[in-house]
Amino acid sequence: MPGEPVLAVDGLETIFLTRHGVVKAVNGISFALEAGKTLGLVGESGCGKTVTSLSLLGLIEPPGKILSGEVRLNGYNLLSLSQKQLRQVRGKEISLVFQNPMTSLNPVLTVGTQIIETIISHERVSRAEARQRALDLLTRVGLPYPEKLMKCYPFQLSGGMRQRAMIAMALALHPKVLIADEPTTALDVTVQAQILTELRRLQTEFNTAIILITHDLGVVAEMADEVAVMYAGSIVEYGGVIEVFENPGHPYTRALLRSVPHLDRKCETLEHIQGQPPSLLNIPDRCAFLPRCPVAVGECSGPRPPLEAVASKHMVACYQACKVRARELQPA
Amino acid sequence: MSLLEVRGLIKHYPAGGGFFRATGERIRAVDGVSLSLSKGETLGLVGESGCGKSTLGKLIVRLEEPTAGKIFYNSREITSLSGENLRELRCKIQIIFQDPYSSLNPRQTVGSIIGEPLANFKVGAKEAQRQRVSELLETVGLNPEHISRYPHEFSGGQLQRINIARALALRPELIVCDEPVSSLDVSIRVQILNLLRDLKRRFGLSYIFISHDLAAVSYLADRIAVMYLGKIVEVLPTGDLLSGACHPYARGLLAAVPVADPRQRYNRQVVIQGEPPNPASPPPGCRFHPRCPEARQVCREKEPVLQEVEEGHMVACHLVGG
Repeated sequence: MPGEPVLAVDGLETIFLTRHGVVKAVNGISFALEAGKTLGLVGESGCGKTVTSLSLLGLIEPPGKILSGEVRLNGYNLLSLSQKQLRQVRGKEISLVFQNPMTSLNPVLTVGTQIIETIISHERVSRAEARQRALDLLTRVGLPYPEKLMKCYPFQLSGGMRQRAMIAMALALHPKVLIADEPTTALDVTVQAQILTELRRLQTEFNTAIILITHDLGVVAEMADEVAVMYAGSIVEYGGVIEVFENPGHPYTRALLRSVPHLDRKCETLEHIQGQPPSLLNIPDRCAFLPRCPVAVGECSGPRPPLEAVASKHMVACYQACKVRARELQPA
Repeated sequence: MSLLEVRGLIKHYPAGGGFFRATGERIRAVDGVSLSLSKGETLGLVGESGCGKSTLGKLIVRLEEPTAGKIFYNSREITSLSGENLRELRCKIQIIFQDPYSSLNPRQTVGSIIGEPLANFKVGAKEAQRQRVSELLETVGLNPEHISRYPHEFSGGQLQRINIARALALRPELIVCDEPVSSLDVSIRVQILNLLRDLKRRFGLSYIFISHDLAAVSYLADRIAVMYLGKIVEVLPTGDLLSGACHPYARGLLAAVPVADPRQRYNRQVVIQGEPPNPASPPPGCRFHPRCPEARQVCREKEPVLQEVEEGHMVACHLVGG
């Protein structure tokens, strides 16, 4: 039975006002996430994945602006909170792990100090108690010699260890939602496999909902329960991971899935999508994928296709997808 | 006959011990590598970061001086070529780097970037050179009308195409591709991989394709060499990679690649734990033994040598073969 979502995003729209015009980085997206589940947010660079995650935490600064939308966490709207209230929420209810752990850790404080500080700033506990919890966290994310690590500065750790320390810090207050923004992109595959396993184990332990932002479809297939595919600031496909991977409805999703070289499938030539993602500047109100789409017809140049259900728990924003699906469903 | 042959190549860098304080410690980036490449072949070189794959690439192109070992190109030793001889070699061996932005001069136009090798080697008259640049732009799938644009006007994928055009300018025979698609987006990656593949067929090129991405490597390469901490631990035909790879590191690397099939997610096990050790002080015996799930006593004591287990398949592991 589906539970109540811990996080529900509705019609989020974030823009940046630049000299050259309005950049619509996030163009009215909606999704919901249940406790203990993982949503994979996939897309290429510049499609608005990271701006989405920053918007959720209220971290958009001028010239950026959240134009409209709601981010409901525990029933209250994050976007209507004051900065002071937001500070209470960040880290405690919803926290963030970035791609590059070196730039998100403070280089002049030890790892221990940073984790302890996170705990003390949110909870009324003694320093000794916070220290004990920090040690415990470092052990849980699979780091050896936690005592020694507490006294280390970030530059003394390897990339994988830093990312583990970041995850420890992000989970220090048992947040309900963890946003992991390309958490393993900078790491080797062997280390990536370890961190993903660790993340999954911790998720089960704390019942955390994870938004996993990545461009790597392999990582999504490995981790996500649901997938949202983003293109030019909009979600173009949204559904259960198996459904989306096996019956992709949007031509962009299909192309993405086909363009990944598979180890076990030796094929002659991989298909590739022509052209490149559009600029988000002054984006026209029509299907953004149109110029690159292999199945476009005249009708596609109309207004932007809405995200519509093509199957249960599977939505696609494409005029053609619904048609193709309808044709398939109709008895011959 | 092999186009390129590398014998016992070694590159050690002095490790810095801080300002004015040499510790005598040496980073063993490449530590005894032998390999060969036939004409028209693509050799994939894979391994984790810091395993020495890029250094090996640079040594082959002669951008770095080897500490020891020999490199032969067309049966001619090129290890210590210098001056005009080395310059001539540059026409034959070219390199493409990972970061397409930083490998192009932002203040040069595309035309002058791609035309520079032509001007440098005085290939034809000015007009012919310009003609060749347009032709090269077309070859790599760019609009020849963009000849007077600057790098910042192009996207990452297009910049990588410019890098490829520059590498092709002198009609080389061998191109070392050092992570050419790693910094690109998924949909652009395949465009570039397909381009490299087409160019190889069209011009009869040979590639050394360096990448940490096993899937990308196996898409282009005929043979794959797996590197670990400065050494090659396994070489085998790409077709045999999944079923035939037998070095525990190669198998672990394969197992770590996420598979884009959500139904397979629980079939997978993390085999390799930890991270590679410091290349300044590699572990004794087999360098992989501290992370190897199957390590035995002999692995801690004796360094395995790369030996042929079947035709075209070499492995350096005590547990495999003899």
